[in-house]
Amino acid sequence: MVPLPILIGSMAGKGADDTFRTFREAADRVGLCPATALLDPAEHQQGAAAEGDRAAAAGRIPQNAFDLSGESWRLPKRQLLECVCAGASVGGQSLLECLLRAKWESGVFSAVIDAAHALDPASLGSDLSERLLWVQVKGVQQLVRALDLLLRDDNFALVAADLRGLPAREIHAIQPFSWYRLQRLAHQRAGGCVIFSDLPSVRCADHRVLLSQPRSLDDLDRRRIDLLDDLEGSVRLHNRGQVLAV
Amino acid sequence: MYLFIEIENFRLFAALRASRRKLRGPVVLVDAEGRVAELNSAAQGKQILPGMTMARALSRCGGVEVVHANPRAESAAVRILWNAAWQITPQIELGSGGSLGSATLELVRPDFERLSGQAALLIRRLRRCGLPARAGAASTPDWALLAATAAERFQFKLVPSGARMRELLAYLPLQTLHGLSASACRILEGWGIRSLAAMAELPRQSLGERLGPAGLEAWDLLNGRRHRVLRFEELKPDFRESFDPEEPLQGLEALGFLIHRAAEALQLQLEQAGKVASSVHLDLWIERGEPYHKSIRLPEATNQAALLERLLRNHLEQVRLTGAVSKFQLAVDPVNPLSRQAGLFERSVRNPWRLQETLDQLAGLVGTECFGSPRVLQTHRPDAHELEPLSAELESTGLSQSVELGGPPRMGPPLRRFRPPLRARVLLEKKRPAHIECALVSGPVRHFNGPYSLNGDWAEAEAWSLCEWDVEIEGAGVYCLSRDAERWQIVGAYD
Repeated sequence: MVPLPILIGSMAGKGADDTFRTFREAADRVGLCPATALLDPAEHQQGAAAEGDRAAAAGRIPQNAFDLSGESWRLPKRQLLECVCAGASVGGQSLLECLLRAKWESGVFSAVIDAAHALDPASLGSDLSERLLWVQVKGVQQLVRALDLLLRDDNFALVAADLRGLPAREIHAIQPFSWYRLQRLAHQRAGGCVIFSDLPSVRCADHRVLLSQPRSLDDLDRRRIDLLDDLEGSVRLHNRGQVLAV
Repeated sequence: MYLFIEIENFRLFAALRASRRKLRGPVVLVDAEGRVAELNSAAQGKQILPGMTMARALSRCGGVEVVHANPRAESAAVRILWNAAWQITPQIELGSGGSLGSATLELVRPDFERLSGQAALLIRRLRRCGLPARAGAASTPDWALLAATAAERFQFKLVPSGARMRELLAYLPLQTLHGLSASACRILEGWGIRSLAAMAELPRQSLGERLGPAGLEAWDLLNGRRHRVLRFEELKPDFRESFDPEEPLQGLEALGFLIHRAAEALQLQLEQAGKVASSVHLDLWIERGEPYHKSIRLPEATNQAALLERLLRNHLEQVRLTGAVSKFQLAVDPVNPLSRQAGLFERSVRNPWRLQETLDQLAGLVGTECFGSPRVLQTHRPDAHELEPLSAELESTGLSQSVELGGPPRMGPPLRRFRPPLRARVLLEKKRPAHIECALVSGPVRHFNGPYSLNGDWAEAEAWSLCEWDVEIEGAGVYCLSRDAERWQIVGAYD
């Protein structure tokens, strides 16, 4: 069992506030009000207190929802997870690898639907590649249809879609009901579904992870497993668009 | 106990198996000599009789549909009948000549409750193959035939005892008895004999004196006194199913219909032989075009018609045929079923057929070259990889076993490549990158590793050489910077 990372919402730092502001501005421009509201640092603190979830307030993820620490890790099964990467080098690919290596009880394959054709097979290793289906799509229409197809097949434990690099207007051309349909499919299957994006794009995501801490050159000399442990981010829990905990 | 299966107008239905048309009007089957061999009830209503020439039949009814006899289709239909009957018992006598399309089965100590279910299933399966059958069971072969005659199409009639048979004979007119001529029927009707039960009660001697040997034979038959030995037949398995449609077929729906017919027949054949199909071969002869051939290795050996049908339909959806199909053939490679019990904690491909279907649909959506399992090529050239088809034949792994890393621990975060690489402007200080500008990220270089010089294929025409740096751009992360000749590029981000 690979020690799995702890995704911690350590958003109290100065860098995190800047990231939130940047995101909010960018999201406001494209009209993503509900999602950007979730990225407000003020709400981050208030929401955690209101929930009385000490774990969330401390930056830890509640056990019953998204605990990534060691044995108590719960994979995002039967849910739609969105991972928002606030940069090109913040750990999105590490999280993807972590999920690909995770112990899923259903299905023997994993699928990555890649809009930017950005996956690097040499980084993953042959042990992972053998059970990986890499689908290179052109445009969001193909991506949504491929996601729809793969989510219906329980031979795939994890179905990940990488929207990073796609223009925001293309992503917002995806009708909300398409995401709701995909969410329902994700709920019906035993495996998991993860969407990687540059900006919050999936309104009906059950969970949203924000990765914002840029990598440093020292990370290249560290073991990948240790890097996953240090992965920083923010987790927001949703239920039908409402924030449950931040 | 005997079971009799009869397909009325067998030759006609055998010839029509490849046709999707619902023929509701008058239809006649014309043999090689151009005479009406079989006809449906609508054609009978138009005063068309068996043995008429086609011209005469057409003169009586101009709108009659003419179907030509097809001996190959008939022998294929006989095989289907035999295979279907074999599901109940291997002791099968096939009808020939005038009784072509019938089968008599000898049942040893039958279970009456189970027999009804088996017969109903047999009739349903024949129907799916385009052969409308009816069946009857009784204690002698002749009574079984009469029971089948009394049954409606697609129905089964069981007559378990002699008393019940006599009750049934009371409802059957004289004309239903095969071998009783029209003149004999007229004589009997002149005596006031209208039903077979009344005929069976006549004195045997008197009937013989008046009607001759045919009368004696009929009396023995009706009273269950005739015992004949069945001649069982064994057909060699044939795992091919072909159709020569009268008119060339256009479109997927028409082909799908033939696939359905062929797959059902092949399922019966595979079940009869106790085999499963490991691969399937589809041959289409195209009018004024090259024949189309496709062999598909099945994700899991099976004998299920529905799975074969779905697989082939998915495949044909991606194929653009250049013309109409004049001939069709579907064949399977039979293998013995795998007798292996999966371990309780073993994890393997859950549903290989679903996987194959998903991959087929993906191929239709993005093209076969755009998805697969990535494999890194044996070269030092960066980003050298290829996509291989995802194989459903993975070695099973234990349920508790996750994908573990092997060998030394992996260092550093994985690379996320930019394809194509991003053109960059790099400011050098002392021949080292100091500031980077590109469409995605710009800023001063905080730290860097490198350069790493890479080259290869120097003896080939496509020799390559480049230098790479790992650079940390302030506040933006770590990137892989590459210099190829005079061009700077950011090839990826360590993500």
